[in-house]
Parts: sequence; structure tokens; C-alpha cells
Amino acid sequence: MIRLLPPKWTGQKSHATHQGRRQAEFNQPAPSILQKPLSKDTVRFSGGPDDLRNSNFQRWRDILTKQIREDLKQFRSPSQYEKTSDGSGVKSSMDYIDLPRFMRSSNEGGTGQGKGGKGDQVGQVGPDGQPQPANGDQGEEGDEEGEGDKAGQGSGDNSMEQWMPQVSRFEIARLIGDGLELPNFMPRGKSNIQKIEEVWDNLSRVGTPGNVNRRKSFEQAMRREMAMLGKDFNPLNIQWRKDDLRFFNTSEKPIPKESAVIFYIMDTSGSMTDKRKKMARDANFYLSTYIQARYGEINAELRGEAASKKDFGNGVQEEFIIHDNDAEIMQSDEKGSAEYKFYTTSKGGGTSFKPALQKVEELIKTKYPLDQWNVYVFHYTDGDPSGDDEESAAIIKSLIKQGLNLYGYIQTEGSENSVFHRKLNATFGPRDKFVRTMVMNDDSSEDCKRAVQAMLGTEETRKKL
Amino acid sequence: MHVRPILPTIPPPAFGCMQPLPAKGPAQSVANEAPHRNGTLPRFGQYARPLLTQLRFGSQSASRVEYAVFLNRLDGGENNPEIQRQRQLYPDLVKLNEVRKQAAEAARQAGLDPFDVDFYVVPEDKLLELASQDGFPERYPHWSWGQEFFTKYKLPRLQGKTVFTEVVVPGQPVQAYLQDRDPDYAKKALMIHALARADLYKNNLYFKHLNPGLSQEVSSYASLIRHISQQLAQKLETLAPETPSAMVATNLGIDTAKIEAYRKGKASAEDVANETVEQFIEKVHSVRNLVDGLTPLKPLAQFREPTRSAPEYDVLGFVVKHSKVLHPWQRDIVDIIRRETHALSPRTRTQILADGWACFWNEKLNTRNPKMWDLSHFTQEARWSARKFRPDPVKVNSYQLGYEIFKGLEKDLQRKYADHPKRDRKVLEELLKIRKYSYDVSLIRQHLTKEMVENLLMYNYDPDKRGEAGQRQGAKLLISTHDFEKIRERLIEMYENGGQPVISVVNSSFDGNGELLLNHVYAYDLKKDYAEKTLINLAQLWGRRVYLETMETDDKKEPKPVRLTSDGRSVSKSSYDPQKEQAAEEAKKKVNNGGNNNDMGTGI
Repeated sequence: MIRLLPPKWTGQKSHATHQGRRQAEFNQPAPSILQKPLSKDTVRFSGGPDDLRNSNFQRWRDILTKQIREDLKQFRSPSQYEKTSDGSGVKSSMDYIDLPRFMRSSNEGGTGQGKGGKGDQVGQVGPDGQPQPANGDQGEEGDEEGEGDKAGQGSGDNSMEQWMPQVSRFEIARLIGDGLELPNFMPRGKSNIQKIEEVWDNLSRVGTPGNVNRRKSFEQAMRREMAMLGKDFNPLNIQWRKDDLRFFNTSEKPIPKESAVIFYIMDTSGSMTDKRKKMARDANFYLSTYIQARYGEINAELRGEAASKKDFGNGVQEEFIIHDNDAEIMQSDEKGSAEYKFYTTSKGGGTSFKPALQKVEELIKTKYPLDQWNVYVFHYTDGDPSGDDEESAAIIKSLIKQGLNLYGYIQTEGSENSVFHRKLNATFGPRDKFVRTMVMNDDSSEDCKRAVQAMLGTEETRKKL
Repeated sequence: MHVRPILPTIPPPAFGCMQPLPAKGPAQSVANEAPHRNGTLPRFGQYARPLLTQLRFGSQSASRVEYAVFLNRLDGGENNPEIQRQRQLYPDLVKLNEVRKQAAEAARQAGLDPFDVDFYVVPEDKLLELASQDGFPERYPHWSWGQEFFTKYKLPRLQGKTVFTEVVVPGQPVQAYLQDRDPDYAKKALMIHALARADLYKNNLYFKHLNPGLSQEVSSYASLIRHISQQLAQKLETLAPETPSAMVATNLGIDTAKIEAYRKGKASAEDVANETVEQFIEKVHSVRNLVDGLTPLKPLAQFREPTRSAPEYDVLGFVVKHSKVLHPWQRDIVDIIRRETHALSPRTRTQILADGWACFWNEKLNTRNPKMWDLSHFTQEARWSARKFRPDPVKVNSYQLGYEIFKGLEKDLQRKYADHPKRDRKVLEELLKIRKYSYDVSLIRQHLTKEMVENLLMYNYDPDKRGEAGQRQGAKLLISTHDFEKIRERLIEMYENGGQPVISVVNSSFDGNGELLLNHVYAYDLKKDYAEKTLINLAQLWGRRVYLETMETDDKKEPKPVRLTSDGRSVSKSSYDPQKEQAAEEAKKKVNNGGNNNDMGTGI
């Protein structure tokens, strides 16, 4: 890694030819044509929307972003939007907002060019009502050769992503955050509090040439020359020595940190239809967004900094468990991420909660001890367990005694009188702090909102439901 | 220590057969050090200030300054030390400037008569931004320019599809913008393109009425619209908070909801004003094509009765002048957009002509004039030029069509004047005459031949179903004919009136109470959903009901007359019999002429 900073006043890499040029420019009187000095931004070659100061483009993107914000604020299904590649936000496609005008209809046909006899298909009417070339016969296919210098032009998804309208998940958490809180949050990061991180804020006398701090080294050289030469000191002719060099170096800093783990449990028995899974997925998006954003903020605050984009989900672990009669912890592998497998796996078979809760218990014992981790469990199911509700309730009870923050039971499309729902209410009472239950009747945004509020709402919010 | 091997210095390839530069002494050493990145120019930060010129984007009061390299400035000053120094520092720009002079010289020698052209070199994004604003850096702010910028220009580039880069703005001098990353041979070709276009702007009849300072005119409009929104914000701020919002809405033309938002402190007055103006511009943009600025507006009195024989084609002008609901600021904006559209209309009417003319001369100057040869990039250049001619299965490539027409014309003329003593001169004169008096439709009508259509493998295609099914997504488009006459007919139909349907005002008092009656001169069906929404917008601008007489094709192939009506909120459709109605009108006229002529309804 080259860590030499570019000279600040041009933003350009320095090498011999430019130095020569600059010297030549320096000797000349100021040009009369442009009296105003150029700022760094104006002359720099622009390479993306952040450098781009095209306000019309920004305005158009804002209009598109506004729609995403509005949708998410109303708890509409986030599945219409893609996650950004780093997972810190959602993005939408660039919709073309067409202004209506009087124009020729596509049913009048047109004129084209190419081989083909009468009756051959050349294309079809596209989604915007305009003729499109037929698939596989592209009129404007890519032709990179002969284009000359294409440096800095990516054509992958990532380079496209930076142009797309995006909303960060911090912002989503802020949009939906009215009346929500982290349920039963306890500062438990005692053992994590001395987390040690390396920070590049130190200087050293030794290091690699790439890490030379030029400013400090120059200061050092100047100081030494002044001391050595006294009156003969010439600032324009400074001889550097090896001992003058100062290098960037790291120092170790204790960083306090709060940690949490979220368990998502999903019933994958035959009756969990795609619609019910989508309900779970939508609710999970908002639940995890809120929790991860809050922990990001808390951890940034503990460091004494403002939360930045990369703080999202800092200190939060997620575990995905599916169950029918047996339970399984999803692991990421080449077939997909744990989250992807969690939502797509279908098993069929009966319903039994006990094995899944046992897995949670086991993980808490081995990996996430409750004196160090805040633990949240969200359990999605649509039906009654076959007979082991008593034991399941007992496990939950013991976990809560040990310090579980929340067991959230979200029933997707089922009656409120289901056995386990009644059991939970009977054991813990309907308005318990640690065990919260909720029945989603539909995949509507209203129900999604109610589910999120029932799980994460403050006491007042939950009373209103 | 790592010792860098000393390589023999290879001089950069000479550009074609041009004379080597007379730079000697210390200047030579600087020239040898200049970084050459495959023939492209160095990056922007490396240029010295005297070469850079300011481009102001936005309007004068709120502008953003960007920089362009003004190529012509390298010229001339033997006595100007600054320019001399620039010439030493930037040998590749000097070379480019030499090419510019060579191209202009070659164009003049070959018989073209262009306006002077100012060449600017700008980075890609600036060029695309210029292109999205029709070549005018100072244009009123609107999101639709940004949308155009991204979807039409930037997106294809990000996807790796190549798109051409030339922005040529008519005026005196003509301004031409080149992209700094383009290789030199491409810049050369684009310079010739720009010169050919400048020749068209100077000589073609359809550009005669253009303001020579068009960009200044457009920039003054931008300032005016900016001023309008500032005024609007000021008025909103100074109004007493007790004034009912409905009253403010009628006085200023701002939505009641927005006024409420402002009063509750949810939005600033500036934002409210900007958004109001922006949304109004959207409405006007949807009807901006209904413009005819060549003839003066006809008096309103003519339109108290249906006048099918002498309709008014300048619908927007008619609305500006006679609408009763437009606020003064709205009237200004409609008029500005009308004037701008009128100024841009020659460009839309001479697409095939201009593209063809440019390609024709590019080929001619590049191949026949040895001074323009760039032997080191011969194949790249040919390939680059040929990419313009990529055929599209569902569109007409205007570059290829225009080029084919001019090429065919030249051959015909050479045959015709084969025995003439000054054959080439005669041919050139004829060609210049054609570029003077033609526009797209006349070019197709008079000079497109069967041979050309066959060479270009052109065909007509139609959807497999007519009527509404033909407008739905996924409707198949099938080749219907290769017949020359039919293809020519359709091309004329598509390029007539700059590709816009011809719509005119026929009556300003259709129901006797200020209702506007429009007539679509039927050549093809209108796109149905768009037509309805546009009519709603127009009715909002007009303030009363608006009728549009047009035809619609059912599943059967016979178009039937229909009349669309809008009251500004919704649209309804009814069929009618034009012959019966005309007979009734004439009968009514007779009665009126015979009897009391004052009973004409209120009208407006």
C-alpha cells in the first residue's frame, strides 16, 4: 500500500515531468485570462456521481429516492428493493419518468434495417411502449475495442450502484424509529470493553519507505539543519538524512464495545407458504435494521465518534435456525448465505418448537454467554406445535431467568387462539416485557408495522396496539 | 539501488503528413517529456490556466463554473509570450489545433462554406451534461435534463455500449465540444462533422431565422426562470399569515397543500417556489411540441367559429396569448419554452440531412485529401467511423440513411454530368444546392431511390395486431413489406413535422363557452395513454374544456374518427361523424349570416 499523500494543492500524482511543468508555471506571472484561482474540485477529472456536480441529475435521483423513503416509512415490503453490495442500504432501479406528449403510436409500426423476409419478427413493443429489438439481436451491442482509453470505466454492478438512488439502513432505522427502542437493553459488554484496535495515529523512526510521513520528516530535517547550520541555514537547500525520516505507525487503543446476537427461528413445516415466509422476511428486515443501526450508534458513541456508514451492524451477530420436527442452524456455504438459505429452504413435516429452542440454548451456552451478549429471539411460525408446548415454554422461562432480552413470537396467518400463543399468554401474561407475542393476519404493510411495534415498541407504543 | 534502464527515446508518431512543429531548443525537451497515453490528451488538472475557459452551468445568478480547454486560443499570437509558452507546454494540444486548422482549410478548399467554429475540449461528464441540455450550459434547472443525462448518455457508457460524442451548438460562431478522452483520430473526424454542420447552419434555409447568439438567448431565459422562482418565494414570504391559503393559491398559482406545508414550517419558501416552477415546467414540457413559430399568430376573432380551412398550428402560442387562467409568471414560462422549442426545431427537422451531410464530408475529406490522412491510426479510424453505421432492426440509422442518400446523389450527378467539362464543380454545386433547400422530408421524397433502400436492407415492420393490442408490451413486430414506395411513404410519415404529429387549433369556442377544439391532421394513430394525459395537461393550461379530434384504428384496419375531451381532471372519448357535423356547421353559418350575427356565445 502506498501511503504517500498527494500534494494537496493539485490533487495530482507528482512525478518528474509535472514537477518541471509546475516549476515553469511558477516562474510565470499570473495569467490575465482567469484571475480567480482554481479550486481543487473544479479542475479535477470527475469520476462518478460524488464528483459530479450536475444538480439536475442529483435532483432527479432525489425524486426517485423520495419514493423509496416513503415506501419504507410506511413499512411497505422492502423486497421490491435490492440491498446494496455492502449491505448498508437499499437501492432501487433508475426508473424513467416519462413526460406524456402527443406521439406516434407503436401500433403504426415503423421502419428498420436488417436481413429477413416478410413475416419475420424483428422485435417487440417494450415496457415503455417503444419498439425494442428482438432478444439476441441487439442493435447497440457493446464495442469496447477502438474506444481508445477506457480507464476508470467499470461496467460491473458496483460501478452502476454508485449512481443509483439509495437509502442507508441507518436512515431507514431513523425513518421507522418513532416509538421504538431496544428491548430490555443491558450494558453487557464488560468483557469486551477492552477490545483493542490498531489506529494509524502514531509516528515511528523505523518503517517501510511506503509509510514515510513526508511532512514530519521534512520538519525534522529542517529542525536539524537549523540547529546544525545556524546562520547558514538555507530553507531552499535542505539535505535530508536517514535519521530525519519519520514513518506512519499504529498505536493500540482500547475500544469499548457492546455486543448482541439475534436469533431468527423459522418454522419450515409444509404449511409455511411463500406468502408467510415473505411476511417473516419483511418483518425481519425492519427488526434487524433497527437493532443493527442502534448497536452501530451505541458502539460509535462508546468510541466517542459519530456513527458512519460502516458502523451499521457493528457488534451484532445473526443466527438463523429453521425447524420442523428437527432444528438446523443455517451456515453460509457455496450454495448461498445463511440468510438466503433461511428464507428459501422448505422441508415439510410436523412442527416442534423444542429442538429449535434447544439449539438456541446450546448456542448461548457455547458461543454467546448471556453475561456478555444481549440476546434477541424472533420466532416465526404459523401453527401449533405437536405436544411439546409445555417443555418449550419451560425452556423460554429458564432462558429469561438467565437474562434473555427478548423472546418474540410472531405467528404468520393463524388464529389468536393457537395453542402456543395461549400457552405463552398463560405462562407470562399478555403484556410481558420479555415475551412478546404477535399475530400477523396478512402480508400488508399495516401488519408489518404492527409486528415491528409489538416486538420493539416502547411500553406506550405496545399499549396502543 | 534500483537503476532504471535508459531506453532510447522514441518520438511520438507524427500526425499524418502534417508539417513537424518548428519547436526547437529547450521547448523540444519539454515536448519529449510530455506523457502520451495512447494518443489521448493529458488529464484536466495538468492544463495551465490561460488555456482554460469557463463554462457556466445553471443560470447566471446561480451558476456553477466548469472548465473547458478552448482550442482556438492556441492560435495566432506570435507576439504573445503566454500563448507561445502554452504551445511549448502542450504539444499534443498544438497538434490538435493544427488538425483543426487543417480540417477547416480542407473544408473550405473542398467547397464548404461554414461559420467559424469554436472548439472546446471537455471531460466526459461535462460533455454529457451539455448534450442533455441540448448543448446549452446555461439552461433553466429541471430534473428532466438530469434524467436525460443519465438514461440517454451515461447509462450506455456504463454498460459498455459505445455512444458518439459530438455536441455542436448553432450560433455565430458555432460552438463544438469534444471529449478529452477521445483518441486524436476521433477528434479529427468529429471536427469535420462539426464543420459540415456549421456549413449547414450557415446555408440551409431552415436555419436562416435562427438568432446568431442563441446560447446567450437561452441563458437569458434561464436567468429569467430563476428570477421567477425567487420572486415567487419573496411574494410567499411577504404575504400576511392570516390570508387564507386558497386566496394565496389563486393569487400566486401555488398549490394549497404547498402553502400549508410552508406555513407549518415543513418547507422553506424557496423550496416551495422552486418545486412549483419545476412542476409547471413539467406540464409545459408535455405540450412543448405544439409549436409553429414561422407564421404570426392569427387573430382570435377567426376562431369564434370552426375554421378548418385556416387553422392555427402554433397551439402553445395560442394558449399563451388567450388563456384566461395562466398567471403572469406561468405565461412567461410557457412563452420561454415555446421560443426555445421553436429555436431548436430546425435541428429536429434536419436530422437525416445533417447527419448524412457530416458523414459524407467526413469520408470525402478523410480519403481524398492526403493532408488529412493519419496513417498511424488508419484502421482504428475506419473502424471508429464505421460504428456510426450500425443498423438497428427497429429504427432508422439517420447517419447511414443520410450518407447513403448523398453518396447515391453524387454518383447520379457524376453520371449526369459525365461529359461536362467542369464535371466535379458542377456536381458540387448541385450538392450544395440540395443542402441549401432541403430538410429531412424533402430529401427523402426527392432523392431516396429504390437502389438505396435495397442497399440498406430496409423494411417496414408492423405489430401482429392492430388497435390497442398493438400498443401493449410484448406485441410482436413483424416485417410487413420490402416495397420501396411503402417504405418511402412511411419514412415521410415518420419524419414529417420533426417526427411530431401535426395538431392545430380549429375553434376557441366549441361549446360556446371558451372551449378549445384541436384537430389532429391524421397520418397515424396517437399513443393513446400519452395523448390522454397530455390533453389533461393542456386543459389545465387552457382553463376550459379541450377537445381533440383524431382517429383511432380498431382491430379492423379502418381508422374511425373519435373526439377526446378533457376538463383538466379526466378524459372521455366519443365517436362522431365529421361530415354530418360539418354540414350542420355550414347550415348554422348560413342562418347566422342571414339573421342576427351577435348571438355568438360569450367566447373568449
